[in-house]
Amino acid sequence: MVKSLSKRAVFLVAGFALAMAAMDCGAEAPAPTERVVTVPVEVERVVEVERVVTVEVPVERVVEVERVVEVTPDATAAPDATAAAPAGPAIYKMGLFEDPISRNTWNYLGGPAGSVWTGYVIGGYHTSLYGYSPQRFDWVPAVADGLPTPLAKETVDGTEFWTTEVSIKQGVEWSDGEPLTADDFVFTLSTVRELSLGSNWASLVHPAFVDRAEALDEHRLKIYFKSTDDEGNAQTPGLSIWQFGLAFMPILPEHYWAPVVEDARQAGEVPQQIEALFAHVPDGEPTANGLEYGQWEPGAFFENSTVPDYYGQGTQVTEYANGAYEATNERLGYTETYYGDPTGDTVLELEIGPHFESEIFSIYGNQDSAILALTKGDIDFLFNPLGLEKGFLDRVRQTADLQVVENLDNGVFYLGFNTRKPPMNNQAFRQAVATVIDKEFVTRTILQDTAIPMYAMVPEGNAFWYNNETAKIGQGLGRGERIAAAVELLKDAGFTYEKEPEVSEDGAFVVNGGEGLRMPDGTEVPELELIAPSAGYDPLRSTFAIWIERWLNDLGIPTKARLIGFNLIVEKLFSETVDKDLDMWILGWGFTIFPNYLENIFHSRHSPELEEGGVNWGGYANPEFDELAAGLLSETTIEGAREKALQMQALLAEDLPYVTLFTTPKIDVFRPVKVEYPYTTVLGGMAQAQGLQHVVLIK
Amino acid sequence: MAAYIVKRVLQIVLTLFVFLTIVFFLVNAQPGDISRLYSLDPNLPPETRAQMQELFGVNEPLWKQYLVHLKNTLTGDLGVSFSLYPRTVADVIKERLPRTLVLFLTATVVSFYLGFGLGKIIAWRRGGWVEYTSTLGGVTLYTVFTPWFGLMMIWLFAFKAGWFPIGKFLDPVVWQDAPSDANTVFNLMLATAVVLSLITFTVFLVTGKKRLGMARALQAGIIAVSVVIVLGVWLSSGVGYLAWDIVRHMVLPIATLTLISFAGTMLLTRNSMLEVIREDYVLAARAKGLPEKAVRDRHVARNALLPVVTSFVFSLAFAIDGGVIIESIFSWPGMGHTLVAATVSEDLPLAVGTFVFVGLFVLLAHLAADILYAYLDPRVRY
Repeated sequence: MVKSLSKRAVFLVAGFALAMAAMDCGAEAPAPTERVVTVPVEVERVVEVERVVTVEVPVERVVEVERVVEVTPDATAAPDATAAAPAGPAIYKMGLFEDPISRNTWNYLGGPAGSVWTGYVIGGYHTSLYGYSPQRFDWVPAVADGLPTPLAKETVDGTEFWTTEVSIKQGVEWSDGEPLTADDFVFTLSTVRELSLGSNWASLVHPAFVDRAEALDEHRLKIYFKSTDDEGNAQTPGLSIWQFGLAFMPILPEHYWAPVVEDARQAGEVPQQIEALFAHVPDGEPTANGLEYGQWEPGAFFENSTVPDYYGQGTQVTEYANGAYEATNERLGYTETYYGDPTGDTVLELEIGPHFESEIFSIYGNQDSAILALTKGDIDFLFNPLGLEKGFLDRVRQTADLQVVENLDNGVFYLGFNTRKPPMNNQAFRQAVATVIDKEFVTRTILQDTAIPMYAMVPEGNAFWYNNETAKIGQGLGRGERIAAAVELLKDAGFTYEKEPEVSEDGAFVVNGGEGLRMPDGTEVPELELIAPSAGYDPLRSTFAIWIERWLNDLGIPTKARLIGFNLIVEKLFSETVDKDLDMWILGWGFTIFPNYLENIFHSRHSPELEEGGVNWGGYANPEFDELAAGLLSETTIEGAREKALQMQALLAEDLPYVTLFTTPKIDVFRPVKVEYPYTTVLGGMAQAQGLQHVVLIK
Repeated sequence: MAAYIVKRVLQIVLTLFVFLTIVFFLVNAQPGDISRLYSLDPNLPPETRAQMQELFGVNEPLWKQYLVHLKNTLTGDLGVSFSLYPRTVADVIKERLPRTLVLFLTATVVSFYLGFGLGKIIAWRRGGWVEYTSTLGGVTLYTVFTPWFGLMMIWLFAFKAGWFPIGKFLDPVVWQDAPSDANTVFNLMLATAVVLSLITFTVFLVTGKKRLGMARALQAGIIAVSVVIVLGVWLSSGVGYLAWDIVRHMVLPIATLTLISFAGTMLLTRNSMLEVIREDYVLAARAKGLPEKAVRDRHVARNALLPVVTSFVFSLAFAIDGGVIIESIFSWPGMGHTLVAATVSEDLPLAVGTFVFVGLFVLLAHLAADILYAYLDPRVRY
C-alpha cells in the first residue's frame, strides 16, 4: 500500500507542479517590469576627492553670498528630456540583511525603529531646511531659499531670545501636490517639543536651546532659541545647535500628520501619546524628497517608488576644485552658488534623481546568499554595514561583474582609561601605554590591512575637521625604541622599577619584562584589567587587546585582558560603580560630520557621576578641554568651530583619555554593468550615503 | 480516557507555568537590557536612555516585570515587541508562523514519507545495495554540517545551474503590485494543505476496509479529483502565480531539509520493522500465501508504525519553531529566526512570547501523540 501511495504521491506532486507551471506561464503572471534604458546624461566621475573644504556659514555676521537667480521658466513645461535621466521603468535593486522596523518617521528618529536598515529604506522620504552636498558634505540649502539671517537678539514679552529667519523655496511640493510651507516646519518642531520626543529628534531639536518657530508667511520662518539656560546663564545656539542641528530636522507634512498627532494627544499621558504616534502606520503619507512608499512584504522586500514631478529632480549640482558649490534647478527656476566663484576645475557634476521608477530592497538572511545574489545579478548593490570578511572580500574581488569600493569610515576604535584611578590618572602613564602600542604592526602584519591605524579623535576621512598635526605618540618606533621611550616617560613621572625591561640586542623583542613597577607614591602598580569584545564579536578589537596585554606586561605593567561579550562591556560602562570597577576598555564610536561628539564624550559634565547616562565613562576631567568643548557648542562660525576642534584633538592626543587605535575601511560592492554612480568615494562608505539612491543611474 | 486527558491537560498547565518562569529568568539573566542598544550614540541626550527604559518597562524591578509578563501571558496578551516596537508579539507571530509552517511542515512530511518508504524497503530487502546506499547516504547527510550543505545546495542548484532562486520566499519583481500579500497566500496554501489532508484522511478511513484493488482505485480517483478542483480554485483565484512563486522558492530548502533529516525516520522504520518481521502473525500471513507487498505493507509496516508516527508527530510540533540555520541560509525569516533574534537583542516579550507559543504547541503535540497511540494501537488503553 505504501509503495502504491508513493507512486500516487509522485504523480500528484508532478501533476500539481505541471499545473502550477502552466499557471506561471498563464496570462495572470505579470511581466517583469525591468527595462534597460540608455541614460543620455554626461556625468564626470570623480575618483578621489580629498581636500580641505573652506566653508563659510555666516551666523552672526553678514557674509557675501553670490546667488544668481535665473529667469524662471514656465513651471508647467516638461523638464528637458535630454538632460534628465529617463523616467523609464528602471528598478534599482538593493540587498539588506534585515527588515526596516517601521516606516513611521517619528518612530524612526525618536523610538526603537531607528535602525540602520530603517534608515536605508525610509531615509529618503523627507527633506530639511539645510543638508550636506553630495560627496563633499558642504553645508548647503535643501528646501531653504538661501542662507538664514544672522542670529540676532530679540526680546519678546520680556524674554530675550536668539532669533533667525529662513525662507523656504517657492514651488517645493509634497508628493500629493500640496505646497511645502513654513507651517510644516513649525508643526514638526512643535510636535517634537510638545511630546518631548527623544533619541535623534532630541539631537536635532536640542531642548535646552530650541524654543519655538513661527511662520511669518507661507514661505518665511522665524526661529527662536533660548538665550539663557535653566540656571539663567547666557548661552548661544552654536553651529551644533542650529546649522548642524535644527536645520537638519526632517520636515513632516502637517496636512497628513496633524490629525494623527491630534488623535495621539488624546491617548493619555505623554508616554501613551508617543506610543500612539509611533504606532501609526503612515499609509498614504506624502513625502518631499523624491521617493515614496510603494510596497512592503516583511522578510522579503521593501519597495519605494519615485514621486512623479518631484520638484528636485533634474537639479544640476557642480562642485568646484576651488571649493565653490553650485546648484541649478530649472523647474523651480534658481541657480545658487556658495563658497566662492563657480569657476575653474570641477570635482563633481551630477544630476539629482531619482533616475529610476522604483527601488527594491530585497532581504537576505546571510552574506553568502547576498553575495551570490549580487554576483548572479538579482541585486545591484548590497547594504553591508557589518563589513566583509577577508575571505568574502577576496572572492568578491575575483568576480568580474562586481566592483569593490573602499572608503574611510567616520568612526574610531579606541583604548579608554578610567582616569579617576591611579595609575591611569597619570598622563605619563597613559603616554607610556600609547608608546608601546604598535598600531602599524597589528593593523598591517597581524590584521593584514583590514584596519587603518589612527592617532586623532576625528577620523582622517572627515578631512575638514581632522587635525593632521596632532601628536602621534610612538609612530615609527621599533620595539626596543618603544620600550625605552615608555620607560623614560614613566621614570620621568616618578615611577620606579625593581627591574627594568630588557630588550634584545637588535631591539626586536623584549627578553625580560619589567618587574616591580611602582607609582610615584611608592605603591606597586596593581594588576590592571583590560576588557574588550571577544573574537567572536570582533576579531580586530580582541586582537588588539591581546597584543596590548602582552606589550604592557613587557613594560612591567601587570595587565590581564578579558575578552567578554559586548553586552557585558556595555553593562560595566553603564554600571553605577564604573568609577571603581573599570580600568581600561576597548570599544568603538561612529561619528557625525560635525565633531560636537568630542564634547559629548570628554567634557567632565558628561561623567556618569554627574550625568545619568553620560558617556564620559573614564571620568576624564580637564578644565582646559572643558573650556574648549563648551566653546565648540556655542561657536557660531565654521572657522571658529574648526579651530576649537583642532585644538581639542591636539589636546586629547597629548593627554590621552583614549588611545585611538584604528578605524576600518568601509567596503561596498556593486554591479557596474547594471548601475553607475557619479562618485563612489564618500566618507563612511556608499551604504552610509544610502546607496546614493538619489544620484544612481540604472544602465 | 477522558480522565486521562483532563489529567494530562492539568500537567500541561503546570509544565507551561514552570517553562514560562524558566524562560523569563533565563532571558533576563543576560547582561544589560535592550535600552542599552539605543544608548551608544555620543550625541544622544542622556534623558533618552531613561525615556527608552520607561517606554520598555525595563526600569522596573525584575519580580515586578515577571508578574506583569505572567499576567499578560495568562490573559493571552503577549505584549509589545521591543525590537519591532510598537508591533505586538501576537502580530509578529501571526506574520512569521505561516511561512515557517508551510516550509517546515512540508519538509517534515516529505522527509517522513521518504524516510518511511526507504526504511520499509531496506528492512524488507536486507543486505542489498539499496540498503547500503540508503544507509550510507542517509547517515552521511544526517551528520553533514547543515550551513555548509545548505550553501552548497544554493551554489549548485541556484547559482550554477540557475534552476531555483537564491534564497528568499518570493521574487520581488513578481510580487510588485500583487493583488494579495504573502501572508494571505501562505495562509491559503496552509488551508489548501489542510483541506487536502482531511480529504485524503477521510478517503483512507472510508475505503480502508474495502478490497485492496477497489480501495486503491477509489483513493486515487477521489484524491485526483480533489487536486484538480483545488488547482482550479487556485487558477481562478488570481493569486495562483503568487503561490507558484512561493512553491518555486520552497523547493531548494525543502530538498535540503529532507536530505539532512530523512535518515532518522528511515532507520527508525527499518529497526521497528525488523522487530515486527519476526512475529508469528507475519509468518502466518506468509503461510496463507499473501503477496509479499501485502505482507510488508499491511502486516509488518502497519504494526511498525507506532514509534515512527510518534516521532513524526513530535517533528511536526517542533516544525513550529523552524530552524534558524535553514531560515538564515535560505533567507526565509520565520519563527526560528525570530526566536534567536529576539533572544540576542533582549526583546523579552517577543522571546518569551515565541518560546511560550512553541512550548504550548509541543505540549499539545505530546497530548495528541498519546491520543493517537490509542487510535493506532487498540491494545493501548489509558
